[in-house]
Amino acid sequence: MRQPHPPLLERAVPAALLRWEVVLVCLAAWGCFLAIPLSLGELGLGWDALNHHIYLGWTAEQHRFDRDFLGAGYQSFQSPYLYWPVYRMAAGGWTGTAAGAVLASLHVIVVWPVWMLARGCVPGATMFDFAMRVLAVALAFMSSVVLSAFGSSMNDLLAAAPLVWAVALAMEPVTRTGDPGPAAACRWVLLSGLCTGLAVAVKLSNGPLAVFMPGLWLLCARGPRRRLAAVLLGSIGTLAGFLLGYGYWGWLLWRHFGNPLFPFYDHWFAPLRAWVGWAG
Amino acid sequence: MRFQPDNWLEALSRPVAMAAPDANVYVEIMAPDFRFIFVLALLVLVAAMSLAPRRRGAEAGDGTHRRAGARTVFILAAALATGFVPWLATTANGRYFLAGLLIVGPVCVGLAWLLPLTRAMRLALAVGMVALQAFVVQQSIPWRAWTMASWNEPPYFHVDVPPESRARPATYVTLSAISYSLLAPMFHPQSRWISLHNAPFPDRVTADGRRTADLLAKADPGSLTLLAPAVPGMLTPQRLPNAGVSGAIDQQLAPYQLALVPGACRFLASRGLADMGLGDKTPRERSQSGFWLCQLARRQGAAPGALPANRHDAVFKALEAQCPRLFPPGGDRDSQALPNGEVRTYLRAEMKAYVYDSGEVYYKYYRALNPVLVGKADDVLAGRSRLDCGKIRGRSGLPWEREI
Repeated sequence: MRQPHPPLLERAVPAALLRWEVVLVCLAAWGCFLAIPLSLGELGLGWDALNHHIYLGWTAEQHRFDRDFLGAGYQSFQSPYLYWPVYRMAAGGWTGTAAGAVLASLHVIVVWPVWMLARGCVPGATMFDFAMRVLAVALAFMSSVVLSAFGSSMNDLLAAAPLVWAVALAMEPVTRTGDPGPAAACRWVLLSGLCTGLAVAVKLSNGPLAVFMPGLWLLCARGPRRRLAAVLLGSIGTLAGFLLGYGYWGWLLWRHFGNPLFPFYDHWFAPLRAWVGWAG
Repeated sequence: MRFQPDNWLEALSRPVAMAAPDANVYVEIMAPDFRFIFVLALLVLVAAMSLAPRRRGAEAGDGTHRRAGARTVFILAAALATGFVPWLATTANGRYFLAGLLIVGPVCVGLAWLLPLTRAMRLALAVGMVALQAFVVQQSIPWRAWTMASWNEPPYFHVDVPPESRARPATYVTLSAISYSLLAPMFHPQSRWISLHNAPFPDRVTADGRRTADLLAKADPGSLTLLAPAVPGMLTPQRLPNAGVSGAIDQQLAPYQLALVPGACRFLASRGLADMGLGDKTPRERSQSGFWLCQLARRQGAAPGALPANRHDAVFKALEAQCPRLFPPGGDRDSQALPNGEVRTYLRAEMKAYVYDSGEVYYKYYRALNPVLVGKADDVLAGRSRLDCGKIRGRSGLPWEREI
């Protein structure tokens, strides 16, 4: 006697589709992202682009602290490296549509960790679970703030990518149904820390959001000693990621202004300037 | 502090207020977001339904998957709630909360997945959330939300930069709130740039005042140049700054010991600037869109006709004492003289205070249409007129209560 087919939503997703699910989701998202600048037929330059985006990209190639002061106002001092692609394409004589398509493509980097989180929230291998994961990824990007980044030179979404990666990596040991083992958990935590540091390096405004990361790292291990070690490892990773992403820029700011976070918290660095005899 | 809540009610209701179809709630553009309401509602539903007797076969996945999913969802929800606090406390700007705005999507669907309902119902719920959120996104039209100028064909922003400006370095000063520093790479790379809109007045006391003074002092006098967008309606037939706007520019340059060299301006046509602004421009308006490039000279002493400032310092000080968060003591720098009073700016709070010679004291928050009367200067000084710091027009209140 033949077994009746289970209802569609209860059927298992074909193994091949499950294996390539994240790639398919990323490809679908890429298509959607690309459609925005292509349909607009331009790259929009907002207040910030006229004021500092292009200038910062320019200074990413060669800093101008020995020539300019407040060339783009107090925005001149933020980490400029994520603005380099838009500047390079502007200076290279690209059309706005092509530049917008490249920038939209770069944003695919944030889709993968969002899918990882969706898979963590909705595990399972039925058609229902698969559909729910796709909807979860779609709902993640269904925000006017997120979507307004496409077709413009804003890099806030790109700057948020490492933080979303950090969360997704920290959640890996938690989302796995089996015990991943302490070595694997350490690897996730270290990578998560690196991404956290990088996120803060590319945009200091990611810093306040990153306060919940130690809480996530705590959950990656079992037993108080291992949990503490996980937090320590994540913090070391964060420091390494921050130095990797911000070290050179911070050093330039220190050299020229005696404050690696210039113009923020300037009075905090006054004792340090006095102590090392920084002459300005 | 543009989007920071001013009181506990505003802070606690922010997840709900974010759904309001208004601009300037948690980001400059209109960006209604129902997903945080979904999370709150689904948390209540999950809690309520977990107490109700369970129906067989209506649970998410098998036991192992359900536990793993639930753990992830609740941890992420807790992380979101934790992240909300420093976000509200530091900027509350949605552009700096994009990680949270992304993570909330899987949390919403994960919570729906956990409900003890049939698969079809849970799927319908998730589709409904996506559809409703897609609808409000579509209604708010995020495309070109930030756009002031369009980059279509190269160059990315057209302006007729003179060949000599490309060939020879100079020191360029800008005065406008937008620095237009995107033009800087089109000029000689050894040129020097400073935005006087942001630069403190030159002095030997503060570090930044010294930096301003040094940059201006090092400039070759013949190469000091102003780059400013031409002001519509203030051009001569030759498209140069007329006497009125020249005087205003000189007033702004005076604290930096700079002045326009008479007759030493030129007009740089800019299609980039012509395309900016609301509505269609007439061919004449388009032809008058561009930048002024004006030679500057060093000046000693005040600008001719300069009005004395700091006559109303005591009134500003009294206002600052009343609401120091909105009027940080001292403002950004010295008060500026107006023909009939003085104005002091508070950039961090995006606030301006006006004291007129006739005695009225006004404030204006940047999102308000008009200045608001505080009272007479004597009353402010005597404490008889007080500003309600919790009722600032254009700022205070939930989005649906706000007045502009």
